[in-house]
Amino acid sequence: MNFFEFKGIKIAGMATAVPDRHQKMSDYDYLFAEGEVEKFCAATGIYEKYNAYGVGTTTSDLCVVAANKLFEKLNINKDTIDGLIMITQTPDYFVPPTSCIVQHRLGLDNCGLVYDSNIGCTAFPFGLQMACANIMAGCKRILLLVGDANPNRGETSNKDGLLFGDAGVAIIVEKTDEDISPINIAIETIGSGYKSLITPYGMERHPLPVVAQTRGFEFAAYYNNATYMSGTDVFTFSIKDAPRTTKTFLANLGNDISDFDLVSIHQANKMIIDNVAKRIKAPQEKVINSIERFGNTRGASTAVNICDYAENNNIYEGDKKILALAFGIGLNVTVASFTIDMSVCLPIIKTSEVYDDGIDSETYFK
Amino acid sequence: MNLQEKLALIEEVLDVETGSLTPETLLAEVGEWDSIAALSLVVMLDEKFEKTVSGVQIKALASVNDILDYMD
Repeated sequence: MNFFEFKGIKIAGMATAVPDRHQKMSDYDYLFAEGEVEKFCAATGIYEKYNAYGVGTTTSDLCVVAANKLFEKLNINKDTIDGLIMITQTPDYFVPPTSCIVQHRLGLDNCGLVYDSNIGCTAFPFGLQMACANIMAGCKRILLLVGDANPNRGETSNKDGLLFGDAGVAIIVEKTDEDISPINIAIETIGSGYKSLITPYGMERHPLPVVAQTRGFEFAAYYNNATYMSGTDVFTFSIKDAPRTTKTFLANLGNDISDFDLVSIHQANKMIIDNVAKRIKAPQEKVINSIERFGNTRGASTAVNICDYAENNNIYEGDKKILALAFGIGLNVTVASFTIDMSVCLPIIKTSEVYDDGIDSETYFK
Repeated sequence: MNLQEKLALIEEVLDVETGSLTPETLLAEVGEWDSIAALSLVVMLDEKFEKTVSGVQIKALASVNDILDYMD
């Protein structure tokens, strides 16, 4: 486990965008046996979500909309952005990095430092570490983008697929002279558990043509980029390792859970959230949840929670000290503590803006 | 903890009627035994018996007796 402390850095803005396609889980009733979806909702806590299928918005589309709204509302000069970090598991292309395209689309002409990461469920607090580390190394203002969206994944009779909602979050992290408490972060990786959440087929180790040889082209195409989850093992990791890391983080800081105004736990599912909250002794009234309305928004979820909290409670002023705790693919646990001025958190945006890259399936390799 | 108390815990996890399970009951015959019940079982074994069970071990459970083996 690694501990980090960043002084003189603050979160100066946060906006979330979701695809303009609102769904109720009961819309999926027809795909399952009677009562199955209802049971799913009760166990996972997911009743509604936003999904890009049919809208066509990719993760970068959502993040660009969120970032532009931040620039506009907070009156941020784009030329002052000198770092762009994009964390997603649903990039536009295999290469180039989506961050390069987003730099162009946002017109961030002074931003040379751009990179992608695919760290997954811990994207927001982990990305905060990346942004802060770059500021320590000389950057002044970083645009951190986290999100995931599946515009091509339609209705599914696979319950794991029901869990996920789409969202893109833009966060501004910047150097400040203000007297604010430091941002503290702990990161722990348990690489030995990598097989419990994995997209096994389609890349260099197990390329599609090889999979197709043994299991047929239809199978290979269907499972291209499909993620396998060993539910029980991920569950056990979530309720044991995430609380343990959090307790160590708090002990190392000399902090107690009561020192925080809000606790934002990764929105995996309700059973996991409740168990983790109980184990870190977080009182119910401090735990903020968006899962009921947005589903599991993957790496963005601990940030979506904050925007959703502001909107739901109409709290757009005052400082909140937040503990964000995320866990997932890797396997990785990341915990962050920071103070955020709620006036820089914007209401959640719904968008159907889709970027036209001028490419179709006939464009290349003629 | 005696056998009756352990069975009562399993009944609570599976959300079935008190007294409806015996060590010989096959999980395949319990309608309530599904993936969500399995997760509740993981929590119970961890909290009450400090046992960590893997996905493979959960899949291998065939009877109530197999669960009882983890409860000591």
